[in-house]
Amino acid sequence: MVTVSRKMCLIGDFGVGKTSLIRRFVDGQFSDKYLSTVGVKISRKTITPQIEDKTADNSTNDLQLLIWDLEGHTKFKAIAPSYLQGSRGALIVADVSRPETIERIPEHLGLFFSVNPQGCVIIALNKIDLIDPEKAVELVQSSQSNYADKVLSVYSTSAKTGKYVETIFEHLAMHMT
Amino acid sequence: MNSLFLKMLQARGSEYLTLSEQIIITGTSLKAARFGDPPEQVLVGVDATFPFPELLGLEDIFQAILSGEIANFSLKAIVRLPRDQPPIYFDIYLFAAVEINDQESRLICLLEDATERRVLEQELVQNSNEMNLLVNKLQQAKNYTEKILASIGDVLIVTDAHGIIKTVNRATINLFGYREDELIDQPILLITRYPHFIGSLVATNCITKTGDALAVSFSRSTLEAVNEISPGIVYIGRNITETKRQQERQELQYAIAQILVVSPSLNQSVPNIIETICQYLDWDLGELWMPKSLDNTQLGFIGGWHNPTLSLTELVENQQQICIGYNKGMAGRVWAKGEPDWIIEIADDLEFVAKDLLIDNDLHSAFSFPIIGNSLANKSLPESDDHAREDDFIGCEQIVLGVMTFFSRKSHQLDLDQLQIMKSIGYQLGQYINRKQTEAALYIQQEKTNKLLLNILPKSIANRLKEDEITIADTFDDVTVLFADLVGFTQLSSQVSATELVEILNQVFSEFDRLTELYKLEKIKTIGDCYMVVGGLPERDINHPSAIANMALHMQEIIIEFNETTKHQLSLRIGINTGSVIAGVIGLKKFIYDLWGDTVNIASRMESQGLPNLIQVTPTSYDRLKEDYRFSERGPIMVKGKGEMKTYILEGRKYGQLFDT
Repeated sequence: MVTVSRKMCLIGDFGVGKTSLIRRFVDGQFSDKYLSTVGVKISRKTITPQIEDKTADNSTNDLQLLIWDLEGHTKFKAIAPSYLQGSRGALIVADVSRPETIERIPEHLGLFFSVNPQGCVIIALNKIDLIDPEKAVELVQSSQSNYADKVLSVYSTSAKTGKYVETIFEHLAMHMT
Repeated sequence: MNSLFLKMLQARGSEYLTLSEQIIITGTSLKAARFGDPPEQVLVGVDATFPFPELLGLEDIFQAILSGEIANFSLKAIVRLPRDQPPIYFDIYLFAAVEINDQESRLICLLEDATERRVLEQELVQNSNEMNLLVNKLQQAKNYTEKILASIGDVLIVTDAHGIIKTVNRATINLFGYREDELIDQPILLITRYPHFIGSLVATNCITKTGDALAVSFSRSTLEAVNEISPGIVYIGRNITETKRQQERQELQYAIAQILVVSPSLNQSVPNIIETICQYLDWDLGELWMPKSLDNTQLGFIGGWHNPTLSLTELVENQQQICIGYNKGMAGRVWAKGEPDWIIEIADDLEFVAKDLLIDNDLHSAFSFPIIGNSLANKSLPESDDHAREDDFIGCEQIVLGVMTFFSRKSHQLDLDQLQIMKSIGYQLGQYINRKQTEAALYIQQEKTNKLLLNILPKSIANRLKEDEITIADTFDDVTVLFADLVGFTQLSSQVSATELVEILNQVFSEFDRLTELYKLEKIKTIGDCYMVVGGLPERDINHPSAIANMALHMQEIIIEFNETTKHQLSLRIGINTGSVIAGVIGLKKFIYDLWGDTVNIASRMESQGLPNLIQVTPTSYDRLKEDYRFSERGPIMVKGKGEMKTYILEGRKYGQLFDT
């Protein structure tokens, strides 16, 4: 068995929950306390991609995800493109309780694709537990229709409850092999 | 590798790795391992991407550096979080090795500790971001509050301690018609004159920008001073103009109902009703018009009221003189159509009756409504308990019984709600008029019934029967009973027609009826050609023997006169007896007041065994009368059921005039 390593980045505004999503996915933990990330922190997690075509040779290969937790975008400091180098996939994260973080999704998409034109992206509308379910459905639908041609999918996630957290990482990983 | 260069790096405190083209570690500085994750893997011969995962995916970059396409590449602020130790931040710089003869080490990876700077930066970023998030939350909270304030339907006004408006919400602007900047920094007196009496939820009069009056129910609370916020007063108000108006109108209906309940007649209640309507609805003059006489072609003035503070007397006097034709002017139209009418400006109406005078009196608006009820007046009133008639009464046609008109100096906009209420008041008044008419009709009928009842029954007996006494049987110890029989009547019946016969009997008995009233006696009944009368009941009266004696003598006179005028040959046989009787009413149908007892039987015998033109009395009666009347003895006769009895013939009074009662 050969373990392949793949780099993925989490991109988004500050405080949208990138670190929390990773923490939930990697360690299964969550904290309400906000701790801002400076620079970049790489976490590793090995997964076994669920590929339907079992006859394929490398179908059972484990995949080591190198998950780049990037410092969030602020109005004083944009995300350095050098971090995105060689990343096959990106999770673009927004906070559903802060509309401006959703509005900046296209900017993040543009940045990522400028470095990795062939990369794949999943949008995570995070902190879904904070808003009304009807509003959540509405937000997901509007993002899906806005970015359908650019991204694999849009999920409403919650690092707090764990909703769709594994899904976003695994779904993205599946497209990075 | 240029050892001089590496020495320089070491002198600078920088750590480094040297890498082969395949990114295999070919050499490390002394303490480079501490940046590795994990540090143990930082060994010569190990793939650098194991301890430095940051280098994974940078194949293209390495190629570019080696080929000289780019000079270098850097990754800054990479963090390592060793277990139970403070974080380590470092920057990676990649560039080509200068010594090209070293085939193994093609790349240099410089690792520069940046912990101190980045930890500081982290703190700054943390603070800045937290601040941002907080501001964001505050902004959201503010927006939320503002949205609430904007969306509440109630008026919200905040003033400072001196009543100067500081904040208003959307509802305030909408209700009062001022722009926000026209209200801010203005005294609250601009919209309400009574801000200080507001405390509980009572209607407060307010004025809009356009001068319209509003009733607003305010609650007033003080705003405590908090830090920068100065103390103030918060007013929360709800527009209750419409509620209040409806309440007033309901009160008006109650007030009118009240007036109608206590007023004995329409004429007495008219000024009161009109005044009430005028005052509740703010009109200056009101009039009631009703169709005149029987021809129903004109309305005449019935009554009215006007605001006493206005000099409208001359106008009102004029109105009282005029008549309004069917379908003429507002009142005529209302009369014709049976629907209320409203005229905002009298001057604009083409065919207003006495229009010039109304305009001269500065009256602008007018409205009118019909009084609708059953057309009782034209129908004959029900005179019996005939059921068919009662049904007919209910099914009466609804007609306009009258028209009320109101005038005002103030211009009143069309108020459909008010018209609706007036329409229902019109029906209320119509019902009242109908009720009064019915009451009057019932009263007349009752009088008739009473008269009829008194014809067949003494008043006291009639009253007792009305009070539901079913059987009346009273014993009277001392009464005088008279029977009078028309002798020769049977023979007469063969000579004249039945109608004539009854006519004769009617004439004679009518005369006798008058005598009973004259002598205050009680007629009991007539049996064929026999007339029965009693004295001493139902009111006890000791003079009954002489009253009966006088009656008997007078009856004889009547017959003599009757014979003289009619040339008939009638004579009267009269019998009188005094004693005790039972008097009363028995049975349920066609009841009469009747007498029973021996006294009655003997009186009857006195008559039947008497002689024409003579008055035969028993000894009992004789004893009571002999002092004042002249008698002759008839001698003993056989009385059926009584044996032999000595009777007397009454001839006349001893002294004085005959009929001087």
